[in-house]
Amino acid sequence: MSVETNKAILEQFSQAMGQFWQTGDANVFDAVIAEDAVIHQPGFPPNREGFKQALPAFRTAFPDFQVLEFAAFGEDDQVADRIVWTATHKGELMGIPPTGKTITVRETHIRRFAGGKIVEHWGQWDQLGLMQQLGVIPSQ
Amino acid sequence: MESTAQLEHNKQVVQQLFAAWNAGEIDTASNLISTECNGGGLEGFRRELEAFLQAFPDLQSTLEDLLAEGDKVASRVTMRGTHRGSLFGIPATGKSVTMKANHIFWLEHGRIVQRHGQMDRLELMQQLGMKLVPNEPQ
Repeated sequence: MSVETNKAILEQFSQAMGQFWQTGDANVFDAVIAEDAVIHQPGFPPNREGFKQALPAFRTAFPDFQVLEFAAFGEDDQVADRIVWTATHKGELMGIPPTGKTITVRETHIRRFAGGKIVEHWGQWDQLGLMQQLGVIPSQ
Repeated sequence: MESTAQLEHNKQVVQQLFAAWNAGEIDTASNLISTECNGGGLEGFRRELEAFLQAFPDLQSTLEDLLAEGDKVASRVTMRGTHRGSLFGIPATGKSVTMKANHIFWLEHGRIVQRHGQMDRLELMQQLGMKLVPNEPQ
């Protein structure tokens, strides 16, 4: 598959994320993430079902999730992207009650594609930075 | 027009960057960064790298993945090091840590003009034995 095809699949993934945020139905990801895909992202379980089960907590915490910046590029069977998103903390997250604070989060991903779907996902984001925006700090 | 040679050259710049980190050669690493780079230009880059190497003097990055298109390069690294110096205000713990990071670099004339790195400092804090508490006035 060409890089352009894989970018189009990534665009479908982004659309699936938007649909999920609207409806809460995580099964929309089945069309773009392979059943046996491997997920590497801090705070997330390593497989598709775990990913689908972990997402609703974020939808509850950040119902107005909005993408500010997104750009992707690729080579061979992989596509890398950088995303900047913003949201208001309106629901409980990891034990933190809603603060009403607006946060901005940056993530970078590399994804590998096969058979028209994402088969491996390596994502990085700074969970500490997110939590600090909600008013928590590290302590011994 | 992008050529295969240009893509390979851009990848080599990123490989050289991490090799310089591994060798603790801040000047060599800085030569690969544009003075106009985001994140505070050259000085901002130097400050960040110095702070990181001060905290983890034996830091070693393994490049797990590298891809390029146009003027952009993405990398995936695993970093291993021992916490020997103060980090984000946390005194040295002597603990060995493993950190994973993804970077996206934009290059121009063989230098990095934009760098966007992400790593999860929460996992790092957990490895250092820290926990999160509310930041409330005492």
